[in-house]
Amino acid sequence: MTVTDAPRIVTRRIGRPRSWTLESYLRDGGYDGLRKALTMTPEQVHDDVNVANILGRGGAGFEAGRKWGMMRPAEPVYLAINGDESEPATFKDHMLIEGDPHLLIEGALICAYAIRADQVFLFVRGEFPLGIERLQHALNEAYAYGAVGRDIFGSGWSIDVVVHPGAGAYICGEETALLESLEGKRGYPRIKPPFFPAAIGLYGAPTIVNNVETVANLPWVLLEGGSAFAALGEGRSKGTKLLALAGHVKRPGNYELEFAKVSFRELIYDPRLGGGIRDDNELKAFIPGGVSSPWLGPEHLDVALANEKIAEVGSMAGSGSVVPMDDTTCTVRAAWRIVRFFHRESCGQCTPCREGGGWLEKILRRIEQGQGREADLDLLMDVCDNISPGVRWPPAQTTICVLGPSMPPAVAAGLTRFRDEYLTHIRQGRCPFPPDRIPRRMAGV
Amino acid sequence: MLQGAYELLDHAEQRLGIAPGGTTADAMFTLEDAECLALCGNAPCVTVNWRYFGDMDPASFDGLVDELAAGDLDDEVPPHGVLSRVERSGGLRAAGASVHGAGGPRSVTDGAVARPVRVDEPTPPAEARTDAAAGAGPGLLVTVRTTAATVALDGGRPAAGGSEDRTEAG
Repeated sequence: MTVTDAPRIVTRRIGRPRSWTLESYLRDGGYDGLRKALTMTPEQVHDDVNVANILGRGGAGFEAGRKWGMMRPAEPVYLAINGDESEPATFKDHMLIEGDPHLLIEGALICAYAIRADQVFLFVRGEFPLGIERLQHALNEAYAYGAVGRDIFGSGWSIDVVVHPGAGAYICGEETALLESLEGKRGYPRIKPPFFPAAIGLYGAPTIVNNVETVANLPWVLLEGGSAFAALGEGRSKGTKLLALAGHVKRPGNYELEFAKVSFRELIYDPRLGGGIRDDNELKAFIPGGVSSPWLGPEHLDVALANEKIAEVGSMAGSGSVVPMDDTTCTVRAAWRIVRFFHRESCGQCTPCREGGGWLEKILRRIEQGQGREADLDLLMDVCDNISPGVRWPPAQTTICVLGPSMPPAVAAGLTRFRDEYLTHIRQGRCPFPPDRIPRRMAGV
Repeated sequence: MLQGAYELLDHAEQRLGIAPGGTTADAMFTLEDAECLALCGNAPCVTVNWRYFGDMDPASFDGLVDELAAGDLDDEVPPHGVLSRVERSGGLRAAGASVHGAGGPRSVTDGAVARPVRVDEPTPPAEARTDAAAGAGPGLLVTVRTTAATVALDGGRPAAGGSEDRTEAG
């Protein structure tokens, strides 16, 4: 099993000089996928994407083609591209938006053509000003080139695309909150079911929300054919996946690898990829798919990086960000840090998440600072249970969106795998891990 | 947390003499702590007026502060409050109507022809304008180190010196 012979689909141009300009993009065959799509009917494009079987790359892993097919027939139809990447440990879309904005625009246009959209919104996280700058500049270039706007490439098909910077809320990465935000309202997720965005989305119109990486695959799929894409990967997980490797590895970064063909061990230890744990320490645990996924341990290293394989061992591939933690990591502190993020970013709409998040954060902080009680461990699980009944995977939820249920996995993973570590904190009255100045920081920040 | 963000924050507090939320006496620096800047591959990282600087350690933080104080990074780091230096020249205007009359696939019934629009040149600072004149298109300023972080695709942190490659700018 080799890890590098699959073609690079979304990252093939990253790293070229001025890869974000139209000139560079056209030199590499830019907008050929769109030209080809425009010679086909929208149904043919849709069929091709169905054959490719692209799983949504944002986290939920829903087939893009199937999502498009669920759209309520109505007019108008909108397409929103979700570039509001802000989960800690995830940094793949950041690279795509800054490194190859034209690829994103072309992919979005192909998607818009297939679903007969009337307007495309590129929702980009507000903290990516360079990405917004480059994307807007690329869009200006694309308008001038005739790839966007009226009568694209003489085909008679017209569409407008706008870049919409977000305002810095993690919750707006949730698709219905994103639509609320686009409408100019507070980013509160909507209750679904019954109405998914494909039925009632932006301004009440059917809307497809796709991730940046999902649509970035489309130009290649159009040019090479859906079956070429489906030939890569295994099972439901087709094509390539952009994996964001961060944390305690020697070579962190984004790696585009064939889906379902690489195990965590290869990703973390292969010298061409992660290169091993820093300082050659022991691996303690790793987060397989963004900080909202349950942690896995060294015994899961040989699990293949595929949506269904990771689901079998009780976690998720999510957005594809892998964070190994070495044996110097304090799991209480790590769980506290994750819960604090979600608590800060909770929109406050549902009580279990708004209040429970705060309680989890306070209890974890007090354990880390050495003031915990043994009853706290049960209390933690009780609060988790109120947010996500049963604290199981896949999570049940008492909240409107899945931000609340993102908190319990980190806590539950710590309590089941590293219960002794929690007890040591409580019994010794201090955190056994260096450096000791961090608890002071925790109080102040 | 894993890569030493707290140690860096500790150092930043001492270097600047302020706590998070505070501003230095000369009003030049305000320190804030932030979670998730989407640059985990180059953690810990710092953003200055929303321009990214990755792979920070206390020494490079000191260097960054010195350069900022001396004004050496004025080309890369825009003034506070500037999100984008590119003007929108296509798509929807605020009123909601398309400036190009595209309005969607169903609106073209009169056999309209492509009407390319001019890319409005943003007004870059004088330094960047020379690059634009060299045929590189509208002068887009580039945060050089972010570019290097962006291209760190093969997992590699950029090669030594690569992060300072100013030829990428323009």
